[in-house]
Amino acid sequence: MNIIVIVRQTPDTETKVKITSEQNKVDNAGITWIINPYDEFAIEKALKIKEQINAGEVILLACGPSRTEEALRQGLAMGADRAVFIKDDSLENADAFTISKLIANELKNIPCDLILSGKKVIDLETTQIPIFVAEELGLPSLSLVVKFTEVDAANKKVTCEREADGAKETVEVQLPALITCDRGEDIPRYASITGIMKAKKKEIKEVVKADLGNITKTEITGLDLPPSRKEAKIFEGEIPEKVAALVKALREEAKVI
Amino acid sequence: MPNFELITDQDIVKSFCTDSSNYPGHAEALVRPKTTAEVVEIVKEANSKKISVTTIGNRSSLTGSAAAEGGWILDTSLMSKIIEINHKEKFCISEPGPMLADFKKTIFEQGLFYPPDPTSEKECFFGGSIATNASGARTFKYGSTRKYVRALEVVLASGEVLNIRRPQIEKNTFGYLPFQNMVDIFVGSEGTLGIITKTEVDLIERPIAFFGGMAFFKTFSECLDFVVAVRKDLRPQVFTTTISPRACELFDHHSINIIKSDSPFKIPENAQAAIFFEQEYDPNSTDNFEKKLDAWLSFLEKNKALVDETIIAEQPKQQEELRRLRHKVPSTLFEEGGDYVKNGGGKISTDWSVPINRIHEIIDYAQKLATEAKLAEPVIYGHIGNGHPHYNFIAKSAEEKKQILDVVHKTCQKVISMNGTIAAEHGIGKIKKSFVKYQYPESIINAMKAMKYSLDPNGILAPGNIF
Ligand SMILES: Cc1cc2nc3c(=O)[nH]c(=O)nc-3n(C[C@H](O)[C@H](O)[C@H](O)COP(=O)(O)OP(=O)(O)OC[C@H]3O[C@@H](n4cnc5c(N)ncnc54)[C@H](O)[C@@H]3O)c2cc1C
Repeated sequence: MNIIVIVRQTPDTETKVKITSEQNKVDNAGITWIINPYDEFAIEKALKIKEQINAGEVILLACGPSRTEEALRQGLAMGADRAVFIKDDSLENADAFTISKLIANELKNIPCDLILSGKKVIDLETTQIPIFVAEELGLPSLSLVVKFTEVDAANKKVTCEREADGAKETVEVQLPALITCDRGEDIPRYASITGIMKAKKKEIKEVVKADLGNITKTEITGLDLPPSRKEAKIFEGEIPEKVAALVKALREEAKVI
Repeated sequence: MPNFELITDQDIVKSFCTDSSNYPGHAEALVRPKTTAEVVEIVKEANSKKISVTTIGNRSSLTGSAAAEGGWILDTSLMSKIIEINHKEKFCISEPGPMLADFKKTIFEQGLFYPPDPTSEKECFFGGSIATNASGARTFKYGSTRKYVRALEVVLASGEVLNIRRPQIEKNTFGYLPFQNMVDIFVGSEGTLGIITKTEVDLIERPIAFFGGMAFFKTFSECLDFVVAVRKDLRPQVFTTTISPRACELFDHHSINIIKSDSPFKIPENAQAAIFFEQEYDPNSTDNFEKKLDAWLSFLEKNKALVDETIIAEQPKQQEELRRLRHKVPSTLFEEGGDYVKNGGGKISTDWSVPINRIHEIIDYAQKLATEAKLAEPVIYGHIGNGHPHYNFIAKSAEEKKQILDVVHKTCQKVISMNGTIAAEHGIGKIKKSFVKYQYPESIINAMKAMKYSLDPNGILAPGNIF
């Protein structure tokens, strides 16, 4: 049973975002790049499934500019078997629809039973990519899965838990299917030093971006940073005065009490 | 009437009276100046009435140095401005009150680096780290706080404001050496000589990149061999392809047990010790990630680490996790020890260090003493790369505390005979005073005292610390 994990490289969550002077792109200078954290949960789950059934391959699939290769190496160091990389620097600012079309197009060439991905990508802050892919391939899709409770490789079925508002849903899916992952109790494994060494020898197959014409559906026309927070207000004086002033401000200015 | 507010409400004052050593302090009042001028005024008033003044940072001291013995507590938390970050000449001037980690982050975000990194950096002030000459994991490569301090503004007990600067001249034959460079006298003076109101520190270029890692060992002794080998390998190298860690920190099997429950990576069952390391690299040079990793791999193989289980933290979150785990050891022990304070027990942590080539010998010695005294095994962890492991004992009663202290005293005497120190980073404060006699003869201690009383004739500053 082969498992594909769709991987995207995103800025580290601690990144202080800067915007280019044209105000429509994030300035990449000085960014530390990481595997999209939710995709990392998906890789972890894929590796656990593989260990459990002791068969098949975990294949990473990414579609992005050349820097993305680093994320694939990191995923391979965690233990994935090989990677496929639709590499094209023109994809730096590609929209979710374009990316998903290209991924779906490539997936037609890779035989697999289960496609995993993070529940969202934190840079575009979107959950669309995997859902579009599933739609494009006509696959059932299941989102926000926290745990695989049963994997029946022989009958190509998986049972998983997904989070629903305050409740837990158990769903059985017939494969092939696409499933997006949340963290659950899985902590993505750290690469071992030997894992990183082995990853250097694993295959990253580069494929040329298919020419699908101009399929862009959305374009970012402007970006703004959130307004900086207003300065804190500090009350002076003796404690009783300060308390009175605070209560007054909460009632009259903030209007919260 | 003085022009500053003395908070005398004991409900408030009491909550500022102890530090992370749990030493029971007491004070009449708390005062929170916002400017140097206010500090001057406070000190003048106190000095004229012979009221003692204990300056506090964030009270993370492990020696009772921030626990006042009467008088006033001078809290530096409202003096928290970073005054200047100078990119051209690479320095920063700051008041004492920023939390050290915030201070470092501000500098880092501006593309520069301030290396000192005590494990407590998220819970101690910049000023506190200067007053204690704090050190940390990265001291292994970068040295301790002292090395970075260029200049200080200090308020003396008389109210005089001293502005002192590390000398920039290359030759000078006037004066005893310590006095040629007063900066080094105030750094690490534990609040006893003056109140540090401003500090100028050196900054360096931000290291381009680094990875963290944790290597495991089947025996404690193999782990120590590894550390000694790391130090040997650090000698000036012709080849750049060797390892050059900036941190080398120990976890013994007890510390491993402390972190096991929430470690984000698998800790091998047979691990009896571990080393947490950090390695810098430059992706655009021959000293890149792969070369450094290759060097580590062969080094780990050669020095008996459990290579397949050695994890590498490449991503910032993972690197932060390693540091969090390192911090978890002392903070867990602090809590555990706290439970026994009421019985007269508590945590006893050693702070001795020896030259690295004596590390096996002293650890064997300390182990033997502890076994002979039938003490529960201590937790051993910390800055082993600098020959500075912390031994932490938990005394469940006053009786046990006495036995433990007896062992620690004997160990410290041995440490001194090996040219070590009894207090590598936490200072003396109030709870290590009985150890100072091992390190310096009385005449030297008296000379230190004479200097203290010449700068502070009424002995109002941080009474009870060091002497
Ligand atoms: C979990 C934990 C881990 C620790 N790890 C380390 C470590 O790795 N390395 C290390 O070196 N220490 C360590 N420590 C000890 C302690 O955190 C450091 O000594 C720290 O630098 C103290 O800073 P502080 O702001 O808390 O100062 P405080 O504890 O408030 O004060 C310490 C001393 O400095 C004096 N002082 C503070 N501010 C001033 C000032 N502005 N002017 C004059 N005197 C002043 C005080 O009078 C006192 O004598 C650790 C402590 C804990 C609790």
